[in-house]
Amino acid sequence: MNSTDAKNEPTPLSFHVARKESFIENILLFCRVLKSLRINITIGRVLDVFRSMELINISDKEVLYFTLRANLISEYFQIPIFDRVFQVFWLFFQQSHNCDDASGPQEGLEGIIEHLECFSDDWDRGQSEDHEDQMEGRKICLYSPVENLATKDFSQFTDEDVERIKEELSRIVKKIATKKSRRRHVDPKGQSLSLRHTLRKSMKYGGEIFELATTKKKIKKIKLIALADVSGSMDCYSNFFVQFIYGLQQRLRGVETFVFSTRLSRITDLLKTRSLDEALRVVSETVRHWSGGTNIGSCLQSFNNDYAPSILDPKSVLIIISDGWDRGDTGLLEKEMKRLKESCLGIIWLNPLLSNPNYQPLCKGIHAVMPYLSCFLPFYNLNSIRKLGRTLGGPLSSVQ
Amino acid sequence: MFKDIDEILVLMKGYKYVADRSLATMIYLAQGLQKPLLLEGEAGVGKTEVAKVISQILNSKLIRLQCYEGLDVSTSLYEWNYPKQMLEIKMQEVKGEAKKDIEETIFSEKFLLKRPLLQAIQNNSMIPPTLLIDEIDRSDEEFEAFLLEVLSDFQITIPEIGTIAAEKYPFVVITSNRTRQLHDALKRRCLYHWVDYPSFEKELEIVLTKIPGIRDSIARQVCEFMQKIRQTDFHKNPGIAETLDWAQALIVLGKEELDQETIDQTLGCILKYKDDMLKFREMMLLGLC
Repeated sequence: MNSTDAKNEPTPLSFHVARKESFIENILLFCRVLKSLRINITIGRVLDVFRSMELINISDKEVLYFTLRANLISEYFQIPIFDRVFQVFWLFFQQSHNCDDASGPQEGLEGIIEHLECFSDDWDRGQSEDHEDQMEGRKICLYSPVENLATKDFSQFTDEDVERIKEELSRIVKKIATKKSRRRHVDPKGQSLSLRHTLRKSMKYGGEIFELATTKKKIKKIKLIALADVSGSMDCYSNFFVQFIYGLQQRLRGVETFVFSTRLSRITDLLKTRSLDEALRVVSETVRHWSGGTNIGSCLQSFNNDYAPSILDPKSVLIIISDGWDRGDTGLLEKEMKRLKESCLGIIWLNPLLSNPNYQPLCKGIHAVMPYLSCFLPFYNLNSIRKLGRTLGGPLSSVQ
Repeated sequence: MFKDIDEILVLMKGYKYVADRSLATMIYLAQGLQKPLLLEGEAGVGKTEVAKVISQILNSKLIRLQCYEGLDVSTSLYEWNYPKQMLEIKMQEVKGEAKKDIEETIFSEKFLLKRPLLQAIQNNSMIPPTLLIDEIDRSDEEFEAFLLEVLSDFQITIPEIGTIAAEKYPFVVITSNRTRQLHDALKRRCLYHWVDYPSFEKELEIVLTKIPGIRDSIARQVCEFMQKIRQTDFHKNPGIAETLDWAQALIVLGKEELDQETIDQTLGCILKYKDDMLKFREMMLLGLC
């Protein structure tokens, strides 16, 4: 498409097409705005946009839209954000064309940012909502005479109980550390013959096979990320799982820990202390939203936005410890769970309420997240820790 | 080479693929920019079919690589034919050939097993092939990283032979069901397109195009039903593939009207999970469907 053709077009964009510099500036501005909305725009992508412009009729709004979208977006959930920015830009193109031919991109930037501010407010709505008033005084402690570890605080445990839990943790760690992958590598202790490597080895003997090369399944290194609910409804379990995660973090490399109620806090570094008591003290001093209300959806959203890109990978297993009592937006919770599921190997939800055999996942929060979970397990006593160990050692992605 | 976007729409329609303008624009750009096309979407919305239709339109060979966990270089790129190599060594030794000559012989192209990616790169035909990398989300990170290298400049290095570069870039279509997110580096190298469930009008057009003998009334009923059923939150919502299967099943059964009994009998064509079927039957009883 050249500028002469564009002038003949009656569309609002033709003015900008005719002024090539202005058009380039507008596209660059468009990319900058997207980048400010946390969309990963690289210079390579921007260059590809300009390469694409050579191929299409840029005065065709629809084609321009699809071209920009194909080059700049690579996640389906970014499409609504992109659409909104594109709409605002298009409006701006039209307005600037109607008002003043000399309006430069600087004025445009202010206008666009003003427009987008309303949009950003909508976007962050989920995060700013305060649900402190919810779940006041709710305590869900469960008691069973057989499994009496369930209601005990860790500080009340005998040394023997603590030792048993430590043993169980070591067993879990061992299972995780030796989980098998479907990939193979050469290992003298392997059982299956590798012709490729056997032949390679035979080269040094002039093609005579003296040594057989065998392969073994590789160890699949999985990474654990724990998200623990510390809202009021979870009070009687909070200490138990902080101690549990502390134990895991001490034994396994790369474990990341977060706690959430109405906000999300990363406590990985706080748990890197020498003693458990010290860890508990530091955590309780630092985390101010302990025993508050619950807004799982917005907490998961901030996890997805701020931490997931750098922490989660296809080898990570996310452990969420929560009872699922949530007063937040269920739609948001579901959306964020979907995003999480796509970014990791699997999600295990540990629910203390499952200790009750009659428990049915009826509360809206739990109901919304169920389709995205690999496992939904109880978490209240030693047996439940064992069960978690078995799950982590098994083929997680296929477990429902 | 395609002339413009509209031509792609017409050509695809000719091969019974009802595409929308956004997909046609992507195909046009993918060819112009010589970049791979990354299609994401739910299962059964016609992602794989895009590659098949493109290969038919371009009259090029379709090379398909089905991904799975543990897929590695020897199954995706190349492998030496070891039994053949061993026999050759023995034969050459009997002949009294020098070791160096033996090595040169056994590591020549004659003993190379070309897997899909190498086939796509090393093509001598006038028309470059169409490479379909299907369900990339099933493969692991190691393979994704390796693929990145291949897709960046369409060349690979085999230590014993040297570097092989593609003379003409193949048309690459990568599909993903989004069971996991792909690495950003791979996505950056591709043009991204999200294939959504079709609108009623588009679905009807697809059914009428793909199943020529179908009555307009039953096609409409089927599509209306499918649009409605997708509003429900099932474990696996039915895609277009299910719509077509179901419509064909109804023709085989000689049904001309869609009634509750027919739906119940043929539910297996639409819903593939027991829980989904139970949920649907409950909804039918309550009169929600």
